[in-house]
Amino acid sequence: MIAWLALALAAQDVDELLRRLDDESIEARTEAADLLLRRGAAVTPALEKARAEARGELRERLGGLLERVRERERLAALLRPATRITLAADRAPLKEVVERLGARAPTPVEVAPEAAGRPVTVALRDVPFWRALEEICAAAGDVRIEPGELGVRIVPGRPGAVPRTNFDAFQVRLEGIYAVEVAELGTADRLRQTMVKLRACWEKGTRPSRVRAVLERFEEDGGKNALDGLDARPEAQSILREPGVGEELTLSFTGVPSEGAAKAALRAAVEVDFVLRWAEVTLPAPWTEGQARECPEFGVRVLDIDRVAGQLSFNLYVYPKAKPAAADVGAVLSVRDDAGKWTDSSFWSAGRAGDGVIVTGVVMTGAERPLKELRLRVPVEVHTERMTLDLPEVPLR
Amino acid sequence: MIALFALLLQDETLLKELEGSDIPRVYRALETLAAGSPDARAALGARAAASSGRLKSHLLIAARGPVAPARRITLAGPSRSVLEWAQELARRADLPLNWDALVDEKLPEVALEARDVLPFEALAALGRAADLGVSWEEGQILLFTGGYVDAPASRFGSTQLTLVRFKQERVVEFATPSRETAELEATLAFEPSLPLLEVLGARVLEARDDKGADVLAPPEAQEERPDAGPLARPEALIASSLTIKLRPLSRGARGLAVLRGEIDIRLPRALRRVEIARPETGATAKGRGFSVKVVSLIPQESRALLEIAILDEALRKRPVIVTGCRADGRRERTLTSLVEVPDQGPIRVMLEIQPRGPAIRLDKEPMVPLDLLRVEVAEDVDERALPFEYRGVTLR
Repeated sequence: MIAWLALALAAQDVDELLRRLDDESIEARTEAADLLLRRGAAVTPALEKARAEARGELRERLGGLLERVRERERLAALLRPATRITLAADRAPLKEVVERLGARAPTPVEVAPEAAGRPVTVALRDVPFWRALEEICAAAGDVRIEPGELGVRIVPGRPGAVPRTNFDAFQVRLEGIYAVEVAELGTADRLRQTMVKLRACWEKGTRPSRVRAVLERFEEDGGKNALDGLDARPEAQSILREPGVGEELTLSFTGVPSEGAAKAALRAAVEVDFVLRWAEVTLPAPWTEGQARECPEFGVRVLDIDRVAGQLSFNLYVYPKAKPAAADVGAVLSVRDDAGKWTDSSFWSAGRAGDGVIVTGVVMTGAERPLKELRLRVPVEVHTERMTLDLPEVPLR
Repeated sequence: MIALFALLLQDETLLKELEGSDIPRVYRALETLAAGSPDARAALGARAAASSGRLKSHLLIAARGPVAPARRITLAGPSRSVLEWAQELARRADLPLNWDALVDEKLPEVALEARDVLPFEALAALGRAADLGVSWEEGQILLFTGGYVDAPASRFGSTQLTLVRFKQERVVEFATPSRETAELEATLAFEPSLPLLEVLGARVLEARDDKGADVLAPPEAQEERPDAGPLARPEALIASSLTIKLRPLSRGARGLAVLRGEIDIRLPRALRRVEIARPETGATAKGRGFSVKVVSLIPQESRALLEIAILDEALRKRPVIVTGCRADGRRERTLTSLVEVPDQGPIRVMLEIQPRGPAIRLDKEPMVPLDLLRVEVAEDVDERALPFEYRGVTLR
């Protein structure tokens, strides 16, 4: 009875919010749209019905809102909200506390045997996963987080030694700074390079398609900015195909910190992309030079495709139509054999050519089965989470 | 009596030279002392016990006797073509030079004044005069134009240690203490006449940067050196890479004021030899204490693939050297690919033999049959030290 009443009240509430979408006040309309958005997919039928009945500006407004609700739904499947941890322990062994954490959060956490028995006393209430993990480590003392590709390990070490920032569902860490000088003796060839290694961490179940970082500041305590004079800010990106809980990125630049520098202020912008919508073109075999197919967003023309033994090499021209082709940003090329099995390209590169790009690469297909079709999927709608790792005092020695 | 006095006087002069700063001169004195009589060398050993530092190191090396007979050659004369000089150097020094890359080049004519020098000194003199690059590949010294690199080199007898690359790295990983490391990559080249079985590593005895800081790396825990074992020494081996660890240079330092040390190597103490004339599949031969069978010999384009079996149990754990020769005694290039030591049965050695330069034959014809196959087994190995020393090396 109470549930029925709640539903009825909620429906009434939605009707009211829909009415307020046509309010004369912009503030009222914006507030109503936000409240409807927060309700997610549950309001989709009501929005569709209202849109069908509406005219003019209201109809447009309702259409835009529907699109945003659907986008949020697609995003929810890729970007899971931070797991909130509520957990209390009084001198419980670390391993036991981590097992209880594991019952609440999907990310695998393993405790090194030598740290398993450390007593932990914590009282966590509605704390995001990464912060919860840190608080548990701090309470255990002399243990630290070591994030990997598929899970997290807790190992002996100084807790909190690694410079990092938590962003609700993410953690961004500065894993290391490597300054290398190489001299080819007897020649004038000298290489001086600094590599800044970052790791972006997320929870299991989050499925980003790309992570990218740009180093914006590297200013030594003596005032020298190592990035001055560079043609472009150091950047790196990874296209993510496999599920995991993080990715490492190395940002390199020419030059090494000054000999006397002890600290630096460092800032890096990190972007994590989630593909909300793909556009795709499929080309049926046999492939011939000049063969072309299009979808509303882009087109593909075969320049050259060759299969030798178990390896399919391809050269395709990808050109934009309605939206710019983003073939170099997380596109996926796959081939399907006659048994219906899809194999993704194991290597490829893309180079600008005119309005489009030339995509070159290989698919390791195995030699046995005939191939039926080739598919290129290109992200056309992307949600980006932006974070800034801002560290005013990073030790350089 | 006068002769003995003269000999003693000569030795004293040489001993004085050991302490000098002209490194080629120091090493020449060291070679001469090492070639002395057993009694004279015993006296050097006694003197080493009462010495210290650099002098002691040199005396100890000399007291052990010569590593290999050092040869000296002269490569001097008015302007001639670079190709002619290269051919003359190969002939005089018996170095496996390959000048294929020079044949179609427009080369300058150069004059040379390298008199009474080590073969590698003569090679460096030619490289410097004609701007030739040198690389050591598969038993050949490849010469090419326009690539002379004046890298620091220390030459002792039939060996040359060239410092190729310097690397200094600072690592800050926060979770662990930061660390700073420095190392030199070097190439030890040696004349094919030196039957070197193994390069065990470099020991640095003295290292100071140009700001006066000691950059000698802290000693690492001494690992027990494994027995030489049943390795097959590629006859064509003429170079080996080495890493020399140092402490990082001090602030403001640009290079090394001095770097001195020794390279530990293994040489055969005594070789037992078996020779097979005009070898073919199935041929066998018996020598003193061991016999050899040619399991297969397959001539291919410009090379021959060979598998031999050493049939005697007693020699299962000894280093092997296999050489393919011509009737005139000229050695071909023998590259060993695999030594198989099964629990039971004969040791098998897989080899590839290629014609020695001066030019690599690129024809499609099968390789001309060998006139002689020589298999040598080292009864025992000898560990020896080769000195190296550099002054004023620019690293940054």
